[in-house]
Amino acid sequence: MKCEETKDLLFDLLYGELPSEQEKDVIEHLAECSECGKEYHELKATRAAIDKLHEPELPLYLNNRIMAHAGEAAMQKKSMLDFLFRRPVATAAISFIAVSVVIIIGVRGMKENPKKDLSIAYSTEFKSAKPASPSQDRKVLRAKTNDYLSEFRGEGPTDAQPADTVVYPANDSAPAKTIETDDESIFAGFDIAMNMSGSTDPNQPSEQDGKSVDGLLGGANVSGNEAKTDEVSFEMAMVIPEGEKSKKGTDAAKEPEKPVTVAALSVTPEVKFGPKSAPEGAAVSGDKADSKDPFKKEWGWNVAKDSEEAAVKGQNPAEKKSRDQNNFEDLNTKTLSKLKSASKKAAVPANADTYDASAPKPAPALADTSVSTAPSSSAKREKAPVLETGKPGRISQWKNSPEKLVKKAQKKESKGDYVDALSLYEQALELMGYKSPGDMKTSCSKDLMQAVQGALKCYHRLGKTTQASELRAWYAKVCSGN
Amino acid sequence: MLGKKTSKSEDFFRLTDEELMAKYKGGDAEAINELINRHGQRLYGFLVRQTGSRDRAEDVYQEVFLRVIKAAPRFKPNSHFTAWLYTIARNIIIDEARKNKHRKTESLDQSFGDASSITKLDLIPDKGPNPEENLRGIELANALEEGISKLSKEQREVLLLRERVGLSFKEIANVTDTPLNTVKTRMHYALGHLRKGLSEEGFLGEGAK
Repeated sequence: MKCEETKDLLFDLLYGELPSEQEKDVIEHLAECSECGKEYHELKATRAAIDKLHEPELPLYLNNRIMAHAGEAAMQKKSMLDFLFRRPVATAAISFIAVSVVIIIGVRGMKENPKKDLSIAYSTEFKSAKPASPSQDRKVLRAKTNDYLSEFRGEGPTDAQPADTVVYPANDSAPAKTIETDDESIFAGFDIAMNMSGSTDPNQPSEQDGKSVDGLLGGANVSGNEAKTDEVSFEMAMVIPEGEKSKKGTDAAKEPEKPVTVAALSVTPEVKFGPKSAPEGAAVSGDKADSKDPFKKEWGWNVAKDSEEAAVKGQNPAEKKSRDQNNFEDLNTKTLSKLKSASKKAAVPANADTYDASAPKPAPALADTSVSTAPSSSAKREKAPVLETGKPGRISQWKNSPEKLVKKAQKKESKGDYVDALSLYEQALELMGYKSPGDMKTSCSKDLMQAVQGALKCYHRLGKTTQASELRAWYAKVCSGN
Repeated sequence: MLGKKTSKSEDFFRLTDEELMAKYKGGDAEAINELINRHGQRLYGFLVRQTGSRDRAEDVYQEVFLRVIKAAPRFKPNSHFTAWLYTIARNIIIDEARKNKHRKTESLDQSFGDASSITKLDLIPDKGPNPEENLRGIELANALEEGISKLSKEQREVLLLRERVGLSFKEIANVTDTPLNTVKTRMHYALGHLRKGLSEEGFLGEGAK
C-alpha cells in the first residue's frame, strides 16, 4: 500500500470505520512507514488532547431558571382538571368533607360563641362620587349579617333601621344598593358590626341605638361627596378587649374601663391615634354602651351621632366633644404605651395626639446595632484568612485576598479587558510573594497557579513576552522548590 | 416493583434519555433535571465554543431547554434525545446568527469563536505531580482552544459533535442535515488543522514531552 493511499485511510482507521481487510493493510503500512506512522500517532494524540479539554463552567442560575419553567409546565400537566377526571370519587369525597367542615364550623361558631371577643371596626372614607361599589356591597352584606345574627339570638331583626341601606350625605342622592345573598355564614363566629344606618339628614338622630349586635365595638363611617376622584382611603382597626365585653344596655359610665389591645392596620400612609371627626353629612349609628367608648371616636366612630345625642339630652355638644377629646388622649396614652412595650420599636411620645407611622423614627439604640461578641461573630472571624503575618486578616484585607483578586481578574478577562485583568493578576501575585523579598518561599498553591496562568494569558494577549517568561521562570522555580 | 425502595435519582440514573423524556411527558419535572445534569455541561461547552461568547451561549442554552420542555409532548420515544437536543441547539444558533446578521457579517471561514471566552479555570487540566507539566497542560489546552476557535464554523461543529458530544458521523449528518461524506470530510480537515497547529507549537511529535 502506498503512503498517499494510506493517508487517505488514516482518518477512517482512527475512527474504526475501515473494513477489516483494509484495516489490516493500513496497519501493516504504518508499521513499515515512519512518516505515516507519525501522522497517525499525532492525529491520535490530537484526539486525546481534545478529549481532555475542560468544559466551561456552567452557571447554576441557568439551570434553576429552566427547572422553574419545567416545574410550571409539569404542574400544568398535572392539573386539577386531570385530577378530577382521574379520581372523581375522591374529588367528590374531598369536596363533601370540605363543605361539611365549613358548615359545621360556621354553625358552631354562631351557636357557641356568639359574643366572640373580636370586633372589627372600620373607618372608610370614600371620596368617590360613585357610591355603588363592591366594597359597599360588602358592607351591606355585613349589615345584613348583623340582622341575621340578631335574629338568631332571638333579638329580632333590626327593622328599626334598614341595615341593608347605605346612607350618603344629604347632597348625594345616590340610591342605596342592596344585595341579596345566602352566603351569610361567611361571618359566622364573628361579631362584625358594620352598621351602615343613618339618615340623609345629619340632624336627624339615628334610630339604630341599641339595635346593633352585641359586642359591637366598631362601626363604619361612610361618607361621600361630589369630588370626582376615585381615591379611596381605608383604615382598619382590630379591637380585642381583654376583659369581659360590655353588654348591651349597660351603662358604660358605671363599668370599669376595660383594657384593650389594639392592633391597627392601615393602607393609608399614616395611622392616626387621634380624634377623627365624622365627615359632614355622614351619620353612623352604633351601640349605645359602646358609643361611650372613647376609642371608637378615635376611629371616626359616631361623633356626629354623639353630638346629636348630646343635643337631645341637653348637653352642649362642644362640651361633650371636649370630654371625648380628653378620653381620646387618655386612651392614646395607654395605647401607645402598650404599643411601645409590645413592639420595642422607636419611642413615640406618650402624650402625642397623633402618631404618624410615616414619620422618621428615632435611631435605634446603639446596643441593637453594635457588633456583638457572640460566638457566631467570633466564628465568622475565624474564617477570615490568615495572612502571612500569622494574624487573622481584616475584612478589607480579606476582600483583597489573592483569591478574590484572581476571581475579579478572571471576570475582567472574560470581558476582554486584559489590561485591568493583568493589573489584578499582578496584585494577586504580589500578595502571594511575587517580586517581593523572599518570594521563593511562596507556596505552590492552586490560587498561585490560577494567578500565574491568568497573568501569562494576559501577557501573551498584550504582547509582554518578557514579563511572561520572567513569571514562568519564577513559577517553575517556586513550585519545583516546593 | 422490586420490593425495595430506591430513591428517585437512583431510578433516573438507570433510565435512558428517551425514558426520562417519557417520564417528563408524564408530568415528572425531576426527569428534566436529570437530563440537564446529563447534557447541560456538554451542551454549554458546545455553545460557548460555537457562539464564541458566554453571554450568547447562556441565552441559547436556556432557549434550548425551554424548547425541549415545550416540545416534549411531540418527542417520539424512538428518537435519539442527544441528536434531537443538538438539532434544537444548532437551529437556535442559526436563528440567532440570522437575527444578528445586520450587526456583524461573518464569513463561514472566519474564526467564529475566541478562546478568551473560556476562562483558565475551565482549562486547568488535572493536577499532575509536576507543576511544569501542569503549566504545559494549560498551554496545550490554550493552544487547542485557540486552534478550535480558528476552525471554520462547520468544521468546528462537526469536530465538537464528534469529539466532545460523542455523536456518530451518521447522527452528525442527521443533526446538521448534511451528507455523511461531507461530515467526514469536515472532520478530516478539522482534525488535520488541529494536528498541524499543535505540531507547529511543539506540542506534538518529537519536540513534545
